[in-house]
Amino acid sequence: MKFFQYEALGSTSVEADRLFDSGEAPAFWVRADQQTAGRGRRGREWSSPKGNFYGTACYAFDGKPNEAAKLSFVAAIAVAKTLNAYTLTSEPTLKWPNDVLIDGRKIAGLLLEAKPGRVLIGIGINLISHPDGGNVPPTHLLEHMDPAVLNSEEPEFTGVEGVLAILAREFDQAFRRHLAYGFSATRADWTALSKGIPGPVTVRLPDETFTGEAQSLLENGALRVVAGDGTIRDVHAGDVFSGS
Amino acid sequence: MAKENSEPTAKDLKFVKELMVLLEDSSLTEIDFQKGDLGISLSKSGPSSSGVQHIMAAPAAAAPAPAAAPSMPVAAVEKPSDAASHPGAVKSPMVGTAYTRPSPDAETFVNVGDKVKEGDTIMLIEAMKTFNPIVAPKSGKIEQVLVDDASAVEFGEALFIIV
Repeated sequence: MKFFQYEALGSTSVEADRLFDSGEAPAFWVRADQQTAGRGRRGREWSSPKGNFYGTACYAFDGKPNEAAKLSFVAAIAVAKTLNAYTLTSEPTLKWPNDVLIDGRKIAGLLLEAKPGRVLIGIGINLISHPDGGNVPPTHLLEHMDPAVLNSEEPEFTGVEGVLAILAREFDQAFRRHLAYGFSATRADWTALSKGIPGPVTVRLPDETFTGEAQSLLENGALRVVAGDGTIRDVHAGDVFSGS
Repeated sequence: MAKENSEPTAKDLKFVKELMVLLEDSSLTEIDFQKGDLGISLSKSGPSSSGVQHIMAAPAAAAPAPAAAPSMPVAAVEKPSDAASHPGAVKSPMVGTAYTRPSPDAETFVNVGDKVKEGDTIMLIEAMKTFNPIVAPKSGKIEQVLVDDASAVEFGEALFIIV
């Protein structure tokens, strides 16, 4: 596995795509200390100051689009396991499809792009600081680490490169497990790390918002929700928030 | 091409039944079968799909009728309101949200009348925070764009028509 690390990039995903197009063979990672044009969903800016993790994995992948979407869950599992490598005051949990939360606050953002021959897994993790705002209140890793662990002679947290090393290993493991055992294994792992299922949710779609009871993650990756009026609705895209 | 016949034959029904069994017994969630002007799309959404509403199928997003295509006799025998049966229709490979522009304040990827090359990105479809570019399957002209920016699309729904 190759690692390309930069002081600054516009976007790690754009750079990973450029490397693939110029012949770099997957799998590889691109990481930058800071991004000048970090992207969230729908072109939302992803604030990228120094000290936090911004990276993109490029893996060979030629599955159908709905198969690529399932890698969202694989990536979320890998991020949660990466955070669990540190001694935290409370465990990270997952929210559909790939939000990673600690104490109900968002610590990481993931965005995937499937293109012919490869999939790009863009991951941002707040380590030493977090921006304000967002749909879900944000947080960062150091806020959830015991000061005693941080200040010991051999501190657990040594910075972004250490996070990359753990994340690359965790993602590779989760990806290979997904390929070997299929989505049923990934779904079980994701469900074990998720919080609030079953439980009340608010679902925000481009043209509608409704509340209901989240039931389970389905075999096709959708979240099954029983809406307030009793109808069963399978959510494939949109934002899902805990509580109603 | 055989004689025009819009009624399904017993053979057709048997074939569809076989496809249904194939889908039910497999881990696949969707089958999209195309042969000549015959198109069959089957999808299942989970362990028990009865009564399930796929919520990315917004009722308001019904595709407008394709423009009359007198030069294409194949289209003439199809239901006029079914854009998906247009020979130049490109269909959604997944349930999700379609984006016709890279970001809300950017220009659209294409406009009606644009000439595009095979492989050009026409739109994006997102599901589960994974973006899939939908590319032109051939070089040609964009005759219609059938979905709005940030609208819900179903599996097999016609997205645009390229001629």
